[in-house]
Amino acid sequence: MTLSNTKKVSSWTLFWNNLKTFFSKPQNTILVVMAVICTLTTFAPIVAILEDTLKIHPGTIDAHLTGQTEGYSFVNYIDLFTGTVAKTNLWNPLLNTLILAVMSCVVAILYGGIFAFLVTRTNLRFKKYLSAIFIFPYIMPQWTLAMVWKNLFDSNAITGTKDGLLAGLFNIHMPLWWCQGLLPSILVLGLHYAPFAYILIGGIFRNMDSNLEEAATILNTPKWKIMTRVTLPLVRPAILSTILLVFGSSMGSYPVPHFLNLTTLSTKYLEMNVSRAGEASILAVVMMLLGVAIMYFNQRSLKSRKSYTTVTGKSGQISKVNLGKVGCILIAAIFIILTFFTSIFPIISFAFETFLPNPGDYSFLHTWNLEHLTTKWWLTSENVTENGMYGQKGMLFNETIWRGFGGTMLVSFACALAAGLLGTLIGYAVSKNRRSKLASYVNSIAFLPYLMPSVAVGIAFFVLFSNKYFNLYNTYWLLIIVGTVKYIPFASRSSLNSMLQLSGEIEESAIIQDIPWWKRMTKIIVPIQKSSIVSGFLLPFMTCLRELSLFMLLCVQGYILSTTLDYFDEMGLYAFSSGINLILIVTILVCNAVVNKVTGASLDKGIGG
Amino acid sequence: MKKFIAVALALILVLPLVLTSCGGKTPTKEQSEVQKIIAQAQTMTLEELARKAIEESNGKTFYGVGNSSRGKSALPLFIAYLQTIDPNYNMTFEWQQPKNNKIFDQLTSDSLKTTGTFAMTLIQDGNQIESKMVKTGILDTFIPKDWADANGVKADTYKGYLALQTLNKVFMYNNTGDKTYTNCWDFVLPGEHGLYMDIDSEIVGKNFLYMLTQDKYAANLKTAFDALSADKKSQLQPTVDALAADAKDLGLSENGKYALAWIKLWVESYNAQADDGPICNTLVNKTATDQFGLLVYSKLRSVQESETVSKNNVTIAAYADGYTGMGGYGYCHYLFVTDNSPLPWTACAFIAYMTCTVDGFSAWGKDMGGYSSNPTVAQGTEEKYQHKTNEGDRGYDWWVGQGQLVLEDPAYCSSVAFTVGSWIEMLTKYSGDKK
Amino acid sequence: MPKIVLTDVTKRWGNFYGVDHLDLVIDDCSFVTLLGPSGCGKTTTLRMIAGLETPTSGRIEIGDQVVFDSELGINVPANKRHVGFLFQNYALWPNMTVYQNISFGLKNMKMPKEEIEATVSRVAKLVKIEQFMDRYPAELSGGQQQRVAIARTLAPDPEVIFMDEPLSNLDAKLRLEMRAELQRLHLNTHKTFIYVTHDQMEAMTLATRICLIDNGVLQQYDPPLKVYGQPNNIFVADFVGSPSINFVDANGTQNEDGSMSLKVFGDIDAKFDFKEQTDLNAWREQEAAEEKQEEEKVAKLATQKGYVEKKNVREPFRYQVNCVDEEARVKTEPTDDNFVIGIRPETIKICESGGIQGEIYSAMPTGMETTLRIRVGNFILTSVIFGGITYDIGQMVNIKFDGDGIMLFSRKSDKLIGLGTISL
Repeated sequence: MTLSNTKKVSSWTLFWNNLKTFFSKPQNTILVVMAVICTLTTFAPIVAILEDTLKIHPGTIDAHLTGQTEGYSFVNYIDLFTGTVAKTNLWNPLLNTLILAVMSCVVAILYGGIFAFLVTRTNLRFKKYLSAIFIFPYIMPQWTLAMVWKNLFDSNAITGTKDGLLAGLFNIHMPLWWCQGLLPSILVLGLHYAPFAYILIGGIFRNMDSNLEEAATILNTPKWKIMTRVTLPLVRPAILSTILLVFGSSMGSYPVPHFLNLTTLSTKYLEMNVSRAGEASILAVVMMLLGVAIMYFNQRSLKSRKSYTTVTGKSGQISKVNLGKVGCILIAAIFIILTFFTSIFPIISFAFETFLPNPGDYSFLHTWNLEHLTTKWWLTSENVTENGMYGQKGMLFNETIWRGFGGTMLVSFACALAAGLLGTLIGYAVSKNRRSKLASYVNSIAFLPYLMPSVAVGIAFFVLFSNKYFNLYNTYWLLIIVGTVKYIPFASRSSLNSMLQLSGEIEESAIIQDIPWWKRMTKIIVPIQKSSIVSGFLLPFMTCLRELSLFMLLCVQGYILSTTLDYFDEMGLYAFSSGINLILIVTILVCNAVVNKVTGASLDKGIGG
Repeated sequence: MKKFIAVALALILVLPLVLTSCGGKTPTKEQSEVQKIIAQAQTMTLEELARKAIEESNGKTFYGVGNSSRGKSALPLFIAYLQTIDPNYNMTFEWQQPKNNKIFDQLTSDSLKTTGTFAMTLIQDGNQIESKMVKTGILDTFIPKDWADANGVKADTYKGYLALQTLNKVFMYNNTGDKTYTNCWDFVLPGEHGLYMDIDSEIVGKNFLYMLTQDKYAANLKTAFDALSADKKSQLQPTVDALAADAKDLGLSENGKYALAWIKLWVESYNAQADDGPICNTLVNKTATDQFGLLVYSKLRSVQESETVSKNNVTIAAYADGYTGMGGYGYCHYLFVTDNSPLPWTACAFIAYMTCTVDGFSAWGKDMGGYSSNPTVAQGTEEKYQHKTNEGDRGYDWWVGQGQLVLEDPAYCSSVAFTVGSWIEMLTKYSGDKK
Repeated sequence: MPKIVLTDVTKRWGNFYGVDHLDLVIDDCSFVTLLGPSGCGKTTTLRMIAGLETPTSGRIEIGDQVVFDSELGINVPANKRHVGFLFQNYALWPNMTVYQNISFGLKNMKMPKEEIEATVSRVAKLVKIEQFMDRYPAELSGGQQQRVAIARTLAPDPEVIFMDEPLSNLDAKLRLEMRAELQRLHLNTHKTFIYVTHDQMEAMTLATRICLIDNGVLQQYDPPLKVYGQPNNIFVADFVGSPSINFVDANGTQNEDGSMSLKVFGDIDAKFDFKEQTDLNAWREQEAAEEKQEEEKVAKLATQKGYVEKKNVREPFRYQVNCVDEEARVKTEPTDDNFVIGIRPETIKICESGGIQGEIYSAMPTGMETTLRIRVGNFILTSVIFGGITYDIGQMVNIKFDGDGIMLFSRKSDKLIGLGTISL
């Protein structure tokens, strides 16, 4: 017993020593720093919004009801929840939002999940083509599918507008519930986020040890039972992750319901901002609460005692379901047709739109007369008002567009870099400290901004950074900060997954040899997990390129490409908005291809695993 | 989770304190520096102002914010004008056009600074300007001397805002079918669904509805109603009668029930669209048979003729023979100097330049559908660009007179925003399902 | 070369004690194996000494340096403990060649280039991998990877080398080969080796001392042969040795002369003579005193701040008595008169006459020896007979228990009472 010869030390020294020990581990330092940063970036906007719900805004309902022009009051809550218009302003949008979010999840998971199964576990034909084309809807700005929908199904007789393609060319008039409102919003968002489900669920299918299923087959279990009892439970974590991502995103989506005439919390938010600003902030709070709730349920259901680590990735042999000679071609054909409409058709129609003399003017298709096409939208090189140019130069010469393009690239690069870096560090630190409470706190708190509706996050940061001391409105700084906060989860998830795959011994063997932390990271960990870390940078980049909801209230039109697009779109310059869409899609595809070539990472490896 | 909540609570408690300490602007009775400058500037001619501006802003950057993107085209003309006085003068500029209703938030947050970013603004929606900008002391009105002279008013006693121009949104319908609209009540008959920007995203559209309840316009509605055929009257009469009590509750005049009836029928029937551009694109298409809309007149200028699309496919309701009642509504682009303007003299000079010279107004004047508030400039613009002969525009005077344009009155809008406004909110908007 | 001292080291996760108040002294240049079943805390112990894991409490010294002391708040990080660690999965860096793997740590020590090259080639020669220097780990076989890992561990010349089941991923033949090489390596390098394994054969053959751990508690810390011949308790006896030791239930009392009169195999009378004089009552008293002391210690700990009750309490070892018919074996609550006799298979001899009679239940000759399972009544005994003798199944033989290494355990406490001879 040598205990007797140890001197007692003061508790302060002990504390100090323990602190030193704690911070001597880089992962602890990272966690503490990240905890502080993430707490600030997550709670500050929440608090700002909460404060806004209580504040009296001159010229709005709260000022009218209280008769004051400043100060604080609960009147916004009282009026929103109990006022005469509570149903229109709160309950109906809330119901629509919930249905929209839940059903979008269902659509995304069914469509993406079935596709993932077909691609990874069957002998489907044309896999390479299909899996590349399948993620297009996610790459494109989310309202593009809504636009395509409208262009296809609008009809004078039903929607009271001009005839869309189907009505105009084939005299097909779909019923109203098909043309606008809840159903198309669900389908559009579901299709938009189906690639998430495909990436996540496919990742598990791909790595799943087929021995698990084979074991069941040997026990003579019927196929459907294997599916429901063995396969589905194994992909459950992926399904839960998909729900988390899709629910959060579709709940906060602004453009899709806006274009398809559906009132949700986010569209209501913008409407109410005018004369009920404080109540609008309550809607934002409600959306945030929904986000937190879904995260809570997600974590609870993941905490069950069953372990899913049986997915080892060791067995390289995946048994493939034989779809039959006809089946493998037939099903492929079905998907080729479906993806044509979700992925190829929008691009063609955007391209086509940029050559139409008037927006939605399909004279060419009736006459096949080339005179009814024009290149003016691209090539006009001077400032003219005539011919519907609204005083804009053609896209190739339009400074507004190219300035926006530059801005978008800058913001996307910066966000991707910052979010990727911070996210990677978080993933690393969390994976090193899995049992610690701090780690799980950082992990959750970093994920929270993702679940908060983009519009609300945007507003919150606007409120936060518009005061006497900072005024970051309309600066790239603000966009970059907001984008980074919002996109850290992408990077932290993909980094956490890859770090967990990396045996701790790999780093420990370097620690033992006294190799400093930054060298361990740069020389060992990052090179090994290069491809998924790059994916952690890629995903924020792609998402940022086409982000609108988050940024639209933070900068003026023309600052970045997506707000420019929105601006032209609202103006009715569809040729321009379509052209910008094309530019965005091409940019993303080129970036994806280049990154894939250089590093082997690609978008569809993003959050996988 | 407990920690989570504790941290959140702590922050919630602290942050409002921080924010209130730096927010909360109180409008003072005393004149601000900018207001003093404005008082001087109102006695000066454009050229005198220009000299002040040159002195103040040479080599600096001018930030403006506005609802119209054309401020950007007007600024270089202004700089060129200053350079005719002092060839060495130069100024860089940035013109911002925020989306949606954001301009109010932007101006509010900018007002918190001692010296703001924005020198001036070009802004629409009289109702919100009144309640959020003017009453709070964020924006100051500057009336140029030349403008006051041209309008026969005195700058220092003039009570309204300074409008740059009036824009009109008018009823127009697709004429490829047989249907015609000869009375403003025709647009709200059962089964009619006008294409219109949603009143909650385009706030001036709501102001239009507020204005209908003003005595003058309510009376006009009654006159139009009386001109209807008995058959149509009988379809509408029950609605009108049912709203008599509401009109009384809202403190409206005898004719208020006609206004409320029209508002109710309109809100419950219009087919909401994202923007006037798409509405215009729809109406000029030959497949949009029998559709009509209420939209900015000037959109028509951007239509290119083709097989399915033609300007001739639409009829301006008010131009048709025998049309009775309002032909649309007018709203203004107002000009203000910010109360913490970094370049107040330059802002005043720029405002005077836009409102008092044809060149200054040309950024808007070269296209039809925007009418300068300065009669002299309006006349000069028409002479220069010939919108009446070239494009068939009948001009501001015609629209206000015979066209019975409903004009926005900021003070009135603001006064009824939470009476008539709340009443409108309780109406159920048309969402397509009743078809 | 340093001596490593662990004092009262505990590691727990919540109320699960991975390592429970462990005291251990590891001498210079020794080759100590930490042995025990999976999850017993041996790897945790190793990682705590190396600094890869932080103990919950206790004190660890390497040489003169206190590297960890929970009361003083000292925790020297792993990289400052100057130790080498050989990982179970080798943990070679897949993105580096063999040469880079070995030299990476040296470069970091700011060693001149020539010296690095010299060191790399020296250790490479030691483990015979000179010809693979430009290959990547993925291009090497398991055994070659293992050698690279050893070379990498040796290169910075650490004072102590820790090995965590380094041979478990190799095939049987290679394992035997590497085992011998590790032994040579230990001799050649004169370093302290601490070696974790769950394979008792490895432990027996390599170690200078075996540290047998179960459920986080140290069971025995002795040279291999002592662990084998004189196990502290039934668990140790059972864990060490292959084929496993035979356990026989016995009931009886101590005679005046110190010998024991026992009933074994149900109703056969046997006499057990202690090798060293043992008074059973005195032994019991001492036993009780020790137990009380232990309880007091726990009670005292329980009063301390932050004490967490151990969830994974050790249950009495369930030793296996082989029976033909498991049901027929009578199981009773152990009393003071219940004993367990441990008989190593090699001490069961076949004799022409005398002893007791048994039937050959199964016979497995390997050429060098034959493993027999012999049925005595309802019970089955395992015996190893050297030489290539064949037996027929069902053949009746006479057996006796040879030598004075027969173990007598208390059934109540599992503990060894003494060694001796048994006569039937």
